[in-house]
Parts: sequence; C-alpha cells; structure tokens
Amino acid sequence: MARPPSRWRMVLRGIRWRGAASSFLLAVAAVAVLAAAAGPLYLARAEQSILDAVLDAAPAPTSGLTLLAPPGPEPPLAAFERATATLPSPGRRPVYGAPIYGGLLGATGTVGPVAFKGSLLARTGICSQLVFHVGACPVAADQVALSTRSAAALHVGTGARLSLAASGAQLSLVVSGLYEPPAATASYWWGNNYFGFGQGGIGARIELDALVVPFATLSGLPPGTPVAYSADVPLLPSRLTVGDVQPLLGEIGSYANTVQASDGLAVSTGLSQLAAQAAHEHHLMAVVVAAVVVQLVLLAVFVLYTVVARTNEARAPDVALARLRGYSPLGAVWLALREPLVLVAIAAPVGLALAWFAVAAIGALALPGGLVGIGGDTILAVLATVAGAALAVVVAARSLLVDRGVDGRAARPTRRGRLGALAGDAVAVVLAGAGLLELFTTGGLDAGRTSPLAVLAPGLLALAIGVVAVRLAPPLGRLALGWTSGSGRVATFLALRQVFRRLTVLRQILLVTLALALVSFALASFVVSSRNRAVRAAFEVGAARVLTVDVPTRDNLLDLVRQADPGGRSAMAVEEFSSPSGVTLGVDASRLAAVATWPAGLSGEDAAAVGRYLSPRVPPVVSFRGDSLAVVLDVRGPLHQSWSLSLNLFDQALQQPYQLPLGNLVAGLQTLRTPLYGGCADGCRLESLAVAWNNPSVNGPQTATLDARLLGMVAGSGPGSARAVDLHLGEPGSWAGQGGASVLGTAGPPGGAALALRFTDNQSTLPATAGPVLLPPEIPAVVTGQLASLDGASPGNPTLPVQGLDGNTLNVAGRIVVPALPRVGADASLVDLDLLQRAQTDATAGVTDEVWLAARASPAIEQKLEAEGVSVVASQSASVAARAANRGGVALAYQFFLYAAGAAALLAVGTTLFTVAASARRRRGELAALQAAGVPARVLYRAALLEQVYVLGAGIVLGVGAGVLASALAVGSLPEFSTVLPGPPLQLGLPLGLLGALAVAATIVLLLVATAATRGFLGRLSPALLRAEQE
Amino acid sequence: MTATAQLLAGQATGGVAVRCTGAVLLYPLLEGDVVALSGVDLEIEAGEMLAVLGPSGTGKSTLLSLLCGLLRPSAGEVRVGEHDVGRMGPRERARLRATEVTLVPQGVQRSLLPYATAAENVLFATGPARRAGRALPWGPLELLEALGLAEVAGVEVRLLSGGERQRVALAAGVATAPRLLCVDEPTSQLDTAARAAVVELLRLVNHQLGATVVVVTHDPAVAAAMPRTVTIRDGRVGAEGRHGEEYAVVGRDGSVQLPPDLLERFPPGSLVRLARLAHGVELVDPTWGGEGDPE
Repeated sequence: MARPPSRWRMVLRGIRWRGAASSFLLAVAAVAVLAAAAGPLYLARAEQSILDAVLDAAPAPTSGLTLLAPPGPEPPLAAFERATATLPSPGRRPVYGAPIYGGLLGATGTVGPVAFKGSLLARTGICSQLVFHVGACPVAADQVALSTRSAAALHVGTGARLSLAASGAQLSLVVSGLYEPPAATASYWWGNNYFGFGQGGIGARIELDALVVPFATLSGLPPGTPVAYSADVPLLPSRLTVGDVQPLLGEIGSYANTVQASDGLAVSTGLSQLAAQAAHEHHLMAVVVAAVVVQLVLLAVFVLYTVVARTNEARAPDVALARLRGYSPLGAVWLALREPLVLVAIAAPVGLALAWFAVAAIGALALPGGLVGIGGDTILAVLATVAGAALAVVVAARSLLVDRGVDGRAARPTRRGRLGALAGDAVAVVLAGAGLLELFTTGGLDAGRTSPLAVLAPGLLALAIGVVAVRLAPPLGRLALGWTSGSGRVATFLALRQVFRRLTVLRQILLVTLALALVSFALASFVVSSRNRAVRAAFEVGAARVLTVDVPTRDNLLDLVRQADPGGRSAMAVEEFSSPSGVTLGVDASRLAAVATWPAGLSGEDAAAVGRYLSPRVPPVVSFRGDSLAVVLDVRGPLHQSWSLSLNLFDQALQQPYQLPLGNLVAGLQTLRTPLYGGCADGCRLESLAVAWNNPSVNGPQTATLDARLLGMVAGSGPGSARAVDLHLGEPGSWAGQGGASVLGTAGPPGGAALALRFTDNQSTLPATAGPVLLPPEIPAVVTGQLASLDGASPGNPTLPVQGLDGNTLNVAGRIVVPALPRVGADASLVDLDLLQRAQTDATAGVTDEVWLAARASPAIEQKLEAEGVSVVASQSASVAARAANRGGVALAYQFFLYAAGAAALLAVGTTLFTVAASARRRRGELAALQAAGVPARVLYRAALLEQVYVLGAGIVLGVGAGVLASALAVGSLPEFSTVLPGPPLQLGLPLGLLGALAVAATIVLLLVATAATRGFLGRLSPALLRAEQE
Repeated sequence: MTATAQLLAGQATGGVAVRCTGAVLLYPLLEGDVVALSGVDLEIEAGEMLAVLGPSGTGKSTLLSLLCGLLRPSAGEVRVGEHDVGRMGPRERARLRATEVTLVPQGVQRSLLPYATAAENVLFATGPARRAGRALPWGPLELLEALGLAEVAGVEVRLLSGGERQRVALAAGVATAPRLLCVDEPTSQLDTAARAAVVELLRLVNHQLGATVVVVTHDPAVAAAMPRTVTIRDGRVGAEGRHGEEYAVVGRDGSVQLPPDLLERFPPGSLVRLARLAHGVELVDPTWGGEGDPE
C-alpha cells in the first residue's frame, strides 16, 4: 500500500521535475541573499579590520593609557600597582598589557674636559630591551649603564665613576655596562626619544643617550627632587573587538576619575580619537557598501524576475490544471508561486551561509580580525531581500493567471498590459534619471566634492540606457529586418527576427548592460582608488623606502650617501628639521627625480626640472684638511698702515666656525703660515679672507685701502704632505667681496691664476672680507601653498624665511609652489641640502638624518652606509604604507564593490546560460520546422548563435559604455581617502586599456558560453523533432 | 459487483441538467478573434450520458470548457443545473468546478501533474472540494484501490503506461463525485482493452453516481457505447444520434447541416427543392433526370 499522499512532497517533486530551472532560480535567489547578507557581514568584518588597522598604526601612547604621578622622589609604585590592578576591561576581558613603570630625571656632569647632559632613566624591564656590549645592566642604586657612543664621547668604560648633578642632588655612579643604542621607535619607549645622543651643538654640553639606572637610584634622591614618574599601559589591539570600544571608553572615563581621586594619578589616552577615526572610516565604507549592495540585490532580483517569468511556461500546465480543478484564482496563484517561493525560502539560509563563508574566505585572505557573527542587520537585510525576491516572483507569475481554455490557449496581451509594461519602463528611466539628477544637485557627482553615493551612478545610468535601448530595439530591428529580408542572409534575418520580436529576449540586453556597467565601474573605481592610495602612501613616506639614520658625528651624510650610491639613481641624503615656520626638507636635489616620490601634477614642472631648479650652478666649495695652512699673497706696497689678515673657516665635521688669524701683512709677495690646532682634521670650508686695518688713531683718517693678489693656499698634515688648495681663482664669479672688499679681477692661467682684491676698511662693523661664492643670489626653494600664504610670499615676491640647518633664519625664493611636499605635508619647504650646508654657519640643531631609497636601490647601499658607521634607527616603506592604506575603510569598500561586480558578472553569465537552456525546447521545435522547410541546419545553428551575438554584443557595448560614462562622471566624486589632507593631486585618469580588455574578455567569455550553450542545449537538429513535439 | 461499483454504489449525488442556448464563443488571439462556437443549442438531461462528436477544430473541446465554466460564453446562455455560467464570476465558476463539475481534458499532461504520484494527483484534484467543505466519500488511496490502481498509487504519473495514466486521470476526475463529468477524448492512443476499461468506468460513474457524463470523442466505439450523440459542425450542433438513429438538427436560423456524405451530393452552392411530405420534408435535386441519373 502506498503511503498517504502529501502536499509538500508534491511541491518538492515539482521542484525536482523542473530541476534545471529550479536550480538556477535557487542559485539566483541565493546570490541575491548572498549579496544582501555579504554587505553587513563584510562591514562587520571590515569594521574590526579598520579598528585593528587604526590601532596598529597608532603609536602605543595614543592607544594605550599613560598614568602620570605628581613629581616627587618616592616612586609611587604602590599607587601605580593599585591603579593597574583595576584597569578597564570591557566584558571582564583584559585588553591592556603589562604596565611599564618609568622614572626620569635630567642630570648634568663633566668627565675631564667633556661636559655632558642626559637623563637618568629607570624603567620596568629595561634590561631586557637593551643589548649590552660590555658589562651588565645596573642593579644597585650607585650603578649606571651608558650607551656605547656616550661612553666613547666621555672616554669612559665600565667601572668608571661619573659625578652627576640632578636638580640639586649630587650623585656618584659607577658605570656597570655599555649598551648599544636601541631603535627609539620601538613601542616600549612609549614615543619618547631617550637616545638623542649628540644633539645640542658644539660648545654646549654633549647630549648623552639615557643614563640607565635602577629605580633605587631615583628613590634614593633627596626629598623634593622632581622625578617624573609614569606608568605606561599598552593596549593589546588583538584583544579589542569593535563591540568593546564604547564600553571601554566609558570605563576609561570612570577609571580616570577614580585613580585621580584615590592616588592623584592623571590618566591620558588617545583611544577616543582613534575610535572616532575608525568610526568615520567605517561610516564612509558603510555608505559605499550599502549603495553597492542595493545595486547588486536589485540586479539579482531582476534576474530572479526574469527567471521566474521564463519558467512560467513550464509551470503553466500546473496552474491550468489547478484552475480546471476548481482552485480559486488565489489558490492557483499560490500554486504558481509556491515552488519559486519555497526556493526563495531555501535560498535564504543558503545565501546567508554562502555570504558568511565568502566573507570569512575574503577575510582570511585580505582582512585581519576574526570571524564575525550574524547580526540583526544581516538578518534584516536577508529578510528584506527575501521579501523583494518574493515580490519579484509574484509579479513575474502574474501572466500565469490569464484565463485559459481547456486547450491551454491564452488571450493575447491586452493594450492595458502593454501600456503597463511601457509605464514600468518609463518609471524605471525616470527614477534612474531622477537619481542621477539628485546626485548632480546634491554634490554626489560634483567633481569639487566627494560623496560615497556616487557609486550609485553606474546602476542608474545603465538602467536608463538599458531600458531605453530595449525600447528602441524593436523599431531599429524592423529597419534591420527590412534590410536583411531581401539580402539572402537567412541566418541574420532569422536571428534579428527572433531578437527584435521578443521583449523577453531583449530584456537580456538590460541584464548584461547592468552587470557590465557595474563591473566596468567597479574596476575603474578600484584601479583609480588603488592608484591614488599607492601614490599617497609613497608620497607620505617620501620614497620607496626611507631610513632614519644616525650619522657619526664627524661625517657628512650628503657625502656618505653620494659615496654609497655614486650613480645617483638609488639613494638620496635628506635632512629634515622643524621650526615654527614649518618643516624644511634638505634634499640632495640632483637625485630628487630618481629617488623621491614626486607624483605627476604635484608641480607645474616634473621632478627632474624641480631638481635642476633647486640646485643652480654655484662655484665649488673651497675646502681642505690638515693641521697647518699657508696663504700666499702679493700685497701692493708700500703699506702706510698696519693691516692684518685672518681666515674665516667652517669646520665641516664639528660644524663649528673658526676665525684664524694669520698675522700682519707686509708689502710684496709673502706666505703667511699658521697651525690649525687640530681644528680642520676632518675638513674645513674656507668662508673668506678678512683684512683689517689696525687703525691707531680715532682722530685720524677713518678709511684705508689695501690692494692685494691672492696667489694660493697650501694645507698639510705634517712634513711633505702639503698640498695646494684649489681656490678656483680662474673661474669667473667664483669669488666675491663683502663689507668693503671687492674682487678686481683674475690674472694668469687657470690653476696658476691670481685674484686681485681690494680691501677698504672704513671702520664699519662689517669687516672687509673676500671669499669663495657659496650661495646663489637667491636660494631656490619649493614651498607649499600654505607656507607661502602664511609668510606672505607671492609670485611677484617669492622670498620667504625658513630655518636653516643651524637654526638660523634663511631667506629662500619659493618660486615653485605645491599643495604639499613628500613626507612633510602642507606646511613645509624643500631646499637643496648642499645649499643648506653652504649656508650653515653653526652646528645643526634638531635635524633628523634620513636616507631615501628608490625602489631599485640595492642592499649594497645600506651595507656601505653601515660600514661607514651610519646606523638605521627606523625604516619606512611605501609598499608597507600602501598595504596599511588598503586596510582602510574606503579601500575595503571598493574591494567589496569589485567582489559584488564579480557576482554581477557571474549572474550575467549564468542568466545567459539559463536563457539559452530555457528556450531550447521551443527553439528546437521552431528550428526543426525551418529545417523541414529546407533551411540547412548550419544556417539554423548560425542563426541561433547570432541571436546571442546580437543580444550579448549590445549588452556588452552598452554596459561597458555606461560603465565608462559613469566612471568619467563619478570617479572624481568618489572619496579616495577617509580624511582629506593636502597632498598630490588625484590621478583620476580611467584605466581605458583595462576596460577595453574587460570588454574583450567579457565578449569572449559570454560568446563562448553562448556558443557552448547553443550547441549543447539545441543538440542535433532534425525534422524528426517535430514528431516528438507532437507526441 | 466490482469493487468500483461497490465503492460508487450508494454515493449517488445525482446528475445535473445542462442547457446551451445560442452559445457563442470568440477566442481573442494575436492574429485576430476566432469564432469557436457560433450558436450552440443543446439540452442534456440530468443523469444523461452523451458523446460529442465532430471533426477536429469544430469547437467540441471549447464546448466542454463552457460547460465546466472554464470559459464564459461571448453570447447566448449556458446553464449547468441552476447555474448560468455566463453570469458567474471566476470565483463562482471555480467553486462550480470544485464541487459539481469535472473536466478530464485530452492528453494526460493537461489532466495530471506528471511529476506527482497517482495518489497525489487525486489529492490535488480534491483540494478545492475539501476546502469548500465538501465531505468526500473516499480518500485518494481508497478510490485508486477501488479503480484497480492501487499498485500505481505511489508511482509518479510520468512513469505510468498510457492506459494507466488515463484511468488515473478519470480517477482524479471522479474523485470529487461530480454531478457533471466532462471527458475529452478519453480513449485516444489507448489499446482496445484499455479503451474498454475506460468506457466501462464512465458507464459506472453514470450509473452508480447518477452523474451526467459528456464525452468528446472521435472514437466510434466510444460513440457507439453512448445512448446519445451530438455532432458539432461549424461551431454548432449539426446532428444528433439517439439509440443508433442519426438526426439533423435544425439551427436557430432554420438551417440544417447536411451530413458529410450528402455534402458530396449537394456541394455548397447547390440548388435544392424542399418537397413537403406528410411526415416531413424531402430534399429534391432539381437537376435530377430520373433513376440512375444524375448525368
């Protein structure tokens, strides 16, 4: 006995019966749900990723907690321990790492002739952070550890005793060990540069690296010593979920109040700013993702509608039978709908699961952070999509409700029905047009502003274009039919007739148009966005790689880098220093174009021209080294007054100016000699010769003139080592006089030339000096618009003051104005480093030494620099910065758009397959009838294929065209970055080559699919099929 | 008494009378309106069994669609019992089909769900009746068993033989114990044995249930088994046979359609003289010259 019949089993049998159509419908509905669910899931996953990226990029002191105790000698360790035992922990999960307690006190001292200053530093766990070259970490209160370079500067080693004064307290500490200076950028040091050796300048005390002591040293100081104690509590970003942020901020607020009240500790953190930054990025991304999801879901629902409408034919007998059996119209409607609705219902969990796995897979590949749960917004999106899909099913099934007789014949489409379809299309076009208009009027498509809603442009544009094309196709088709009817091209005629007479076939054009418009736009926006992010990342870093280095005191970075990279194509010395007038970058301008990131359009000139502008021709520097010097002069006599000669020198290694007296002058040829007292052992630059009249009387003449010829200069370091200094006397314009001195001319051949000079001393404050020309008449600079405007510079008067390497004001001519400069941003200037060094008259102050490397730079350059004693303190890479930027909200949004566009493309391919399959049975009959009428099978196959060519070709052309048009309209309006900072101009050129390749690839793929499907589904044509149809 | 007869016996619902008066039906098609029925006058008494004959395309199936309320007449009147089909809305006509009238269309694909089992098809057929609150005298399995289809009750229809499918279609048709059973070409493509079984089943339904049975057929054997036949020609009833006697039917406009054999004798456009006889009228060819003639 058979088991009792069941209505639901019957539904499942029906789904199985229409297996291919059911499967495709299920797949499309699942894609719709996937698209809807993927949005919120991706957002949730990306939110974590954005938070992680923001927290990872943030300095430890910004994300973590810093607890400061009121100054005092007694380490407030008990208070710190109490406070750190009750750290905020959202959900009772610890999110902070082990606290680092620190104490800091400035100290000064003297070892022999060397005066120094430094900071006594005690810090939890510091011994494990330092690598000891000699000795060990201090453990007793009278012990101290020095850096190797500090020890070298002081000429001390382990066991030496240092006497120090610290805020009135006297300490005597024994050096227990020497450590290698660590990278100060490590998060352990909490953003403090405890290792600023050498800064402070000649004549001042040498700044030592941190003088590492145990806490006992600080606690042993007399009461009232102002030791700065702190507790640095690092955040553990990996433990912090998005949901924790707000509760944590709340807890931090109350925690700060509590510890302030109980122990007087001040708590500071930048976490709320970081959370706000992450939230801003997430919001921006959410708008883009939502707009993308809406488009993809609508596309999927449209495909669903198409599929259901095309499968009506297969379900029509069931509905007719239901009507025959007396089912009410509503009952018959339910019968028509229940299979697709059941499939949509099945698709909901399937699509949701697919979305979850897809996001998990994408996340595993591209997004940091863990798996995300399915939240209420995801469920809501799924339910909304299911409702939309159900509505599409209902609307698509309406044709099944037409009254049919027992022979199944339906009434012809009514005028009302045709008008309804036309009205529907008109509404779609009007809505699309209104949407575009809205984008234009509200700034969504305004190139001057950005709006994430601009991503709606391709969908709206493609919808309008596609619908209009579908409506225009029939009249155009009639023209084409007229042309082909007498041409003898049977296949073309049949294909055109098939395409243009059937609206359902033409709808396929709309689908392909929409899908390819989305793909084109997504690709264009992704490429443009990625390109700009990469440019911005490289711009913010400055070059492919930037090394922050520590240079041996007596070495010149410019020379070292030039020696390490003699070709000048891979490395560039840079010195960066800040002042109230902005940041100045001193670069080796001749290498700017080869090494620095100088995006197209940043300045009117290209980087090479900027480099040439920055380094005008100036005479070479006159420099020498040695321990003695001789100057050969011929003074025109007789001399009635007493004159003396001195040299103004600049010790390039010690960065110290010298005035070297050479003695009194006599008439005639003479050689004045002087020892240099070790002052120019590593190189001196000749600044000028100063001639002074030793005026014996205040009542006599106050003006005297001396004419002399400078014949040469010799420097040496011991017997037999004297060498002539190249004074470049034969080069016109290479010398100039100042303050009463003038260059009268050059006589003699180059190399043996003599320079005629006249010194007039009028007892003014400005001495009469003559020297090599060091600087051009104006120092060229590239300045940012912000700096130029602050300093009142203009194209007519481009002179503005910047700070030189020595901290002195330097007037430069900012004839090239840019929105921002690489690495240093919007309030900055760029000057040739060589010129800056020529202008330097004192020791450098507050300068950061950097080596910028091009992408092609060989590791040998770094090795050569290291061999010269240059140590790398920190390294930044443009590619790492670009990767970090790609984890930002905007980047992730465009990434999602690309995935969504891929899904749209798959839908288009799938629908093409389905369309061919769904119409195969009917087409087989029609084509068999034509074959019976004498049309060859190959012509019929060609006709069937041509149908697809026309439909897909039109869709591809319109889709890619709409995508390109939408890109041209909207790419400039898309946000490229979450925050708009001055930088290089955006590069908004469309990747037309890539889009062309996309069109070709789409054509190939879709035609291959169509050809295979046409051959596969039509099978072998034979008139015998007609009999089978009859049966 | 067979199991079928036993099951049907005692379930008599009684037949329903049918009357068509000048029934006209126009099909609005893409190519233009088509006249399917051009004025059918037909009366069928309650409990009567009738075969509708006629060439293909003359409107036989359309007539069944009207009787079952699938279509509404474009003009004229179609009454099924007390119901005026032309005045009934879709919902009322659906209810009529659910409770009183059943149509078994030609071709199994139109009368059964091919993917469902025989029992599920019967269940499907009784759905509206049950929903309308009609108490059915049998369940699907019970009915199929009584009709000798127990073995195929759980088999999907697409897997059944032609005869089995037709019997399942009839089972689905009688499942609601209808008062009017309309069957369209029940024996096409069936072998002799299957054809006999189908005819026997129709007889039982008519006799035991008392239902009015209207069968459209081209099958002479089926026609011969029916006590009354009507022939549809050119969209109206042109002839009628009662108990083996064939009669021409006088149309609403007074016309009489000639049977096909006489149409050869009197092709369209022929002139005839009507000779009145005491018991009727004689059709006389004025060109006839005598016995053995014409020509």
